[in-house]
Amino acid sequence: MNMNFIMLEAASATDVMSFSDRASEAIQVSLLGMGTVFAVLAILWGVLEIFRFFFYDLPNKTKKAEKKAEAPKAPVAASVPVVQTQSSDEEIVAAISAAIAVVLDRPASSFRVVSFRKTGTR
Amino acid sequence: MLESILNFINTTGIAKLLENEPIEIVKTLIMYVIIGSLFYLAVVKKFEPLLLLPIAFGMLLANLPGANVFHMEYFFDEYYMEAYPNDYAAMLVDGHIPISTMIKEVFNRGGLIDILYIGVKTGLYPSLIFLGVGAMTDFTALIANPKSLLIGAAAQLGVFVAFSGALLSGQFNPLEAASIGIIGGADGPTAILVTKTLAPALLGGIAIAAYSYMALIPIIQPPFMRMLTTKKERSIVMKELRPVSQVEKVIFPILVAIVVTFIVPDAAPLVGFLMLGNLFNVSGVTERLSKTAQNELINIVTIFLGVSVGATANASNFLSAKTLLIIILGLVAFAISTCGGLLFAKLMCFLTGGKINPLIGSAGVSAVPMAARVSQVEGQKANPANFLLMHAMGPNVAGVIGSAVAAGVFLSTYA
Repeated sequence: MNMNFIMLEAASATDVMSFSDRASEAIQVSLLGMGTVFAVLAILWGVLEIFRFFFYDLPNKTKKAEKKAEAPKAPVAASVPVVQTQSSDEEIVAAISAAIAVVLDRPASSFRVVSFRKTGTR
Repeated sequence: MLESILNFINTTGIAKLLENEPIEIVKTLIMYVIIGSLFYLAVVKKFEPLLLLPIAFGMLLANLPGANVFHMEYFFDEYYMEAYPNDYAAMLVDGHIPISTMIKEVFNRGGLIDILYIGVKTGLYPSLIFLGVGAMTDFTALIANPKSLLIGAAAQLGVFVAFSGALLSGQFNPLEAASIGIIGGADGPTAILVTKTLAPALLGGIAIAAYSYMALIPIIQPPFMRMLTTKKERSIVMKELRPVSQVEKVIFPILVAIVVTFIVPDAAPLVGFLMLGNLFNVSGVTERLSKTAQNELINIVTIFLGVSVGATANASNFLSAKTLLIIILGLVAFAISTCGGLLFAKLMCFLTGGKINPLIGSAGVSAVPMAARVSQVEGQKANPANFLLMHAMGPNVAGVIGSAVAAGVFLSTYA
């Protein structure tokens, strides 16, 4: 008696499910599943957009506003950023030259950078 | 003396093999051929060797007669019934053997892989693998372009189509169909977690199908990518992604763990550990933990997981029409998930006025980072100035979260 019960338990559920039952189960679970996956990821999308506003857009806007506000107050210091930019340009040139030297396996003095072209755009 | 020699001969694997019916011997030999082909694929063809090799060796150990390294009956009710028919009825509680009985059997009479399999049975290994995957994964592309989350969702279509196909075939019950469907998520640990819970007897076939197809992504996906997109669409150059601040990187994993678990609590073991691993990596204060999670820990767990999952594939349960059907349905799941992602990305391309290259859609099937690499390669074939890798990483990692959510839906429905 007990073994019969066990055999029933172990039998595949497909034995007792008609085709229409299986079709209905498939549709229900698939709709629920796809719906849930879309809902969860769409909520995450929304949260990340809010997130972007608070942790990326807002701090950047504040920085820009601060820079604008500071600029007219200190015209004397205007030469300083120029010097910094120049220095930063030199650093970039040095870094690019070093990178080319490593890739070509030749000293930086053995070549001359004539021009750069940005890739990723046509 | 002669008796001792005879006794010894009777304990050898050859004697144990010959004790079986001729059909069982043939089945065992066929298993060796299959195992040999898996070794070939892993070693020579380099198809997911880190997992396929331990899986194949686990299969070999489980199919060596007399080795007794793994006993299916300690873990699965139906095998217990076959092995110990007299004890079985007395041991049942609510129609199943209690876990305490199984553990007792493992410690008293178990083999090496029985001990290792506890990590699969309890769901420990898939979660620890996700911890390492989280530590290795860069979510920056997803944070910079969160719209790509929807592509990751659309690329789960294959999961539910394959589930429906398996159920309608009449060969599988809903639990088995769910385990087969999740192959379409292209995520090995997720497939293993769902299958060990819902249909443990199919674990070997499903794990092998999932990992083999993941390795075959560069072959499976491109024909669908070319079929569903025009050359013009494939040539679209996407705008550079915005930079992501450190604060965003740190809050992201915490936020995802909270949002996903609030809606689908059953996805917590996977998504929770995925995000914990990522937090280790991005927080900047747990470098040692991050290194351990993405190196030693994931490597150790991969060995244990591969060997113990492979051991579930023995001749009696693996050589069946069901395994063949699993392999076919797994391929269908992969193909439809790829198409789902591509078509959704195509829709987004249309809605954004051609700002999105639809090729990034196929990366929504998870399988990080291989699917994203395929998008990059196909994009460059259409336009050598195209760099889609970072753009494809968004849907790619969204697919990992999406497949974990799909797994959570199956577990909450059937477990």
